[in-house]
Amino acid sequence: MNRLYNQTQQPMRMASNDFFSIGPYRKRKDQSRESVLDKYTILGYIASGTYGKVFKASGKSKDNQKQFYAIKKFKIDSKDSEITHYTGISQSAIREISLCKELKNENVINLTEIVLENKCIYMISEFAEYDLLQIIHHHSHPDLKPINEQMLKSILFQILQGLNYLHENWIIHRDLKPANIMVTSEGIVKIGDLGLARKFNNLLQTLYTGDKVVVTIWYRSPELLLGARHYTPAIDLWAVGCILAELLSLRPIFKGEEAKIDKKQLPFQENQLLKIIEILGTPNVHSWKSLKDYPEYHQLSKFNIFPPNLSAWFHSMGGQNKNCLGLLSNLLQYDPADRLSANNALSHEWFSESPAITKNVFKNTKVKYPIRKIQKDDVNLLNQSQQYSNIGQKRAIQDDGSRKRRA
Amino acid sequence: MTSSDSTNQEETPQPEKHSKQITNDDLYRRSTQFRFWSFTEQRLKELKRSTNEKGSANLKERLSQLDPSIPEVSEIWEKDLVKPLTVEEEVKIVEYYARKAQGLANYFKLPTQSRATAISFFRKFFLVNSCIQFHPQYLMYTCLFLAAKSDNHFIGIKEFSKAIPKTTPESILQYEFQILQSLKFALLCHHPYKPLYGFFLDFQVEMKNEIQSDKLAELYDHARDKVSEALFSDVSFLFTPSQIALAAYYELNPELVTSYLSKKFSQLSTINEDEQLKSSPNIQTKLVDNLKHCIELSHASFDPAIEEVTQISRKVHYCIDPMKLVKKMQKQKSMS
Repeated sequence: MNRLYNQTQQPMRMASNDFFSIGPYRKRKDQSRESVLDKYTILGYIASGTYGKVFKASGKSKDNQKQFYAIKKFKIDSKDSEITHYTGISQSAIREISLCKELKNENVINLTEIVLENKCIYMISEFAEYDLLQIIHHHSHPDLKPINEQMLKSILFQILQGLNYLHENWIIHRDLKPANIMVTSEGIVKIGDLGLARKFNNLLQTLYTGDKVVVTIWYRSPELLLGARHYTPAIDLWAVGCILAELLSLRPIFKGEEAKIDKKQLPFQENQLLKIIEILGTPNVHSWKSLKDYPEYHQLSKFNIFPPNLSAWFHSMGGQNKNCLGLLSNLLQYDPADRLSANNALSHEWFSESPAITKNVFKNTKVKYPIRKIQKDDVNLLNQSQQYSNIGQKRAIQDDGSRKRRA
Repeated sequence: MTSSDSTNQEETPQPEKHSKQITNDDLYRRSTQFRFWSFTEQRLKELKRSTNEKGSANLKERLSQLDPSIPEVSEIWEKDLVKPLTVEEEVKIVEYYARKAQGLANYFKLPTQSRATAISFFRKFFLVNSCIQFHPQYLMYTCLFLAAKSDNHFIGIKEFSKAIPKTTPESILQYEFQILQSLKFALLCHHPYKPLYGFFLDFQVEMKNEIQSDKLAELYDHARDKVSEALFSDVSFLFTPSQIALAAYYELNPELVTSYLSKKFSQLSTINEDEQLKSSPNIQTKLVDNLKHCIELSHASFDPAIEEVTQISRKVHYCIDPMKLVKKMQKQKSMS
C-alpha cells in the first residue's frame, strides 16, 4: 500500500502524510512490541543446521528466571544465496509451527511460544539438558559401561509414550534417532525436533512426493530402503527398535554407509540394507507378504542369503532378558504391518516385570552426565546477516569419528 | 540431574492404561481449532462487536491525529465524513472476499482442503481484526498464499503475485506475520470434507438396504456442495466438522440420517461403552436439534451484491487512509 504514496508528491502542509500506510504502521508496531531479548537472556548457541540456529536461553521474568529455554531461529527463506530475496516465511517453519501448536505431552518437547521479529521467526521451547546421543557417548567413552536395565527400560517406555501420543494425533515423526531424543535434568524423556514430522491422516500427496529421503540412514526402515511410496507410523517404530539396540550395545546396530545422491537419482542404499540383513536374516515373502510390491524388490537378489541372527547378536551384546529381546524383535519386524505399534509396545511384558520403570529415568543411577555444550562466542540472537557456520555438521563428524574408532 | 526429587518420584503408572485407544472426540478437543477457534453463538457475536469497536476506536484516534491546519481535515471532522464500518458491513465485505478467495484458489488449482483452509484463515483474521484497519482484498491474497504453503501445496511468491493484477511479492508478503499472529499460530484446520466422506463410506455399510448406491453418490455430491457453501457462514466457529457434515446430509435426506442415527445409537448402547451416552436417552434428539440449528445458521450466509460491496470497499479505503478522502476533496475543489 505504501507504494501508492511514494509516487505522488504530498503538499507540504501534510505533516503525517504516510502515517497510515503499512510501512510506518508496522514500524510503530514493532517498536511497541516486546522483543525476544526483553523476555530471554541468550546464554549461547547449541547447534545450527540448514533450518537455522538453536540458542540456549534463560527467562527474564520473575517466574521463569531459573528456567532454561531452547530458541530456534529459523533462517530466512531465500531463493538466491548471493542476493537475499525475501520469499516469505519458510515452509518448514510453517509446518513445524502448525504441528507443534497442536501438541502437548509430557514426553514431547513442549513449545512455549513463538515470537516474530524483523522477518525472523523464533520458536521457543523447553530446554533439555541431555540427549540420548550424549548419554550413549558417555557410556561408551573411554570404555564401555552398560546402561543399567531400569534406566534403559524407563527411557524406552517414555519414548514410546511420546511416540504413541504423536501417532494418536496422526503425526509421523520421521527422524527418530538418539540425537533427537532429549532427557531433561529431571530425567524426563522428550521427543524433539519435529522438523521432519508430518500429519498422515490428510494426505494431499503421498509422503514420498514431498520428501524423497527421510530418516537418518542408520535408523531407516527396510520398507523405506526398498523404496516405499506410501509408508506408515511403523517407520518410527523401526527407529525405536534401532534406538533400543543402541542403548543396549552402545553403538548403532545397523551402521551402514550411505550411498551418495547422484544427480537427482535416488541411490539404492545397498550397504544399509546389507547391515540389516546380516543381523535379521534375508527377508522373504513368507514373512513379509507385500515384499514383492516394493520398487527395489529386485535388488534383493544381489545379496547372499543370511539366516535370522538377532538373538545371537543380542546375547553377544550381553543381553539376557528374554522379554527385552522379544520387544526388540517385535520392533525390528521386517513387515511394517506386523511391526508392533507404539500403543501395543507400551503394554509389552518387559515394562511390567521387575525392575519397575521409573518416571525419573536417572532415579537409580549414580552416573553424572556432562551437560549440553553451548558455544558462547555467538550470543547475538538478532543478528540478521548470520553466516550459518557448520557447527552442526562438525558435531556429526566428530561423533562419527569417535564411533569409528570404537568400531 | 537433581538428586533431591528422585526421592519423591512415584513409580510410573501401570502400562495397562495405555491399551485404550483414544476417541476422535478427545482428539478434536485437543485441537487448536476447538481450543482457540470454537465459540458459543453469544461469544462469537460479542467477538465481532468488540473487534469492530476496536477498529472504530483506532480510526477515531487516527482521525484525531490528522493535521488540523488542512481545511479538508476540519471538514471531515465537522461533517463526520469518515465513518467506521458497522458490524454488518464488515460481515458483508468479508464474505464477498471469502468468495473471491474461492475463485482464486480454483485458478491456482488448489485442492478443496487448501481452499477451505484459505477461507478459514481469512475469516479468522477478520474475527480478530477489523476491516476498518485492513482491506480484506489484500489480506485475502496473503491468506490464500499462506494456506497453500501450510497445506503443503506451495506456490512460489513470484508466480503467485504474477497471477494477481496490481500486486507485488512484497505487497502480499507484508501481511504474513500479521496473519500468523492473528491466527495465534494455529494453522491446522479441520474441515467437514473428511467426515463427509467418512459418513459416505459408513452409509454404504449401514444403510445399504435403504439407499441405492447411485442415489447415495448423488447425495454425497450434493452434500459436498452444501459443505462448501457453509464455509461462508459462521458454522465452522460453532459446530464440529462432523456435525456440519452430518447436517449437510440431514438437510438433503432427513429420513436417511434419522434412521442411520437410530441404528448407530442402538449399536452404542449394546457396546455399553459410554455410560454417559447410555444415561441420556434423548441424546439423539439433542443431536438432531443441533443439526437443524446448524442447517439454519449455514443459510445465514449470503452473497452480497457487487454494488453494495463497492460502496463498502470505498468506505474501507477511507477508513484505512483518511488522507485519500482529503486528496479527493482537494482535487474536486481545484477542478471546480
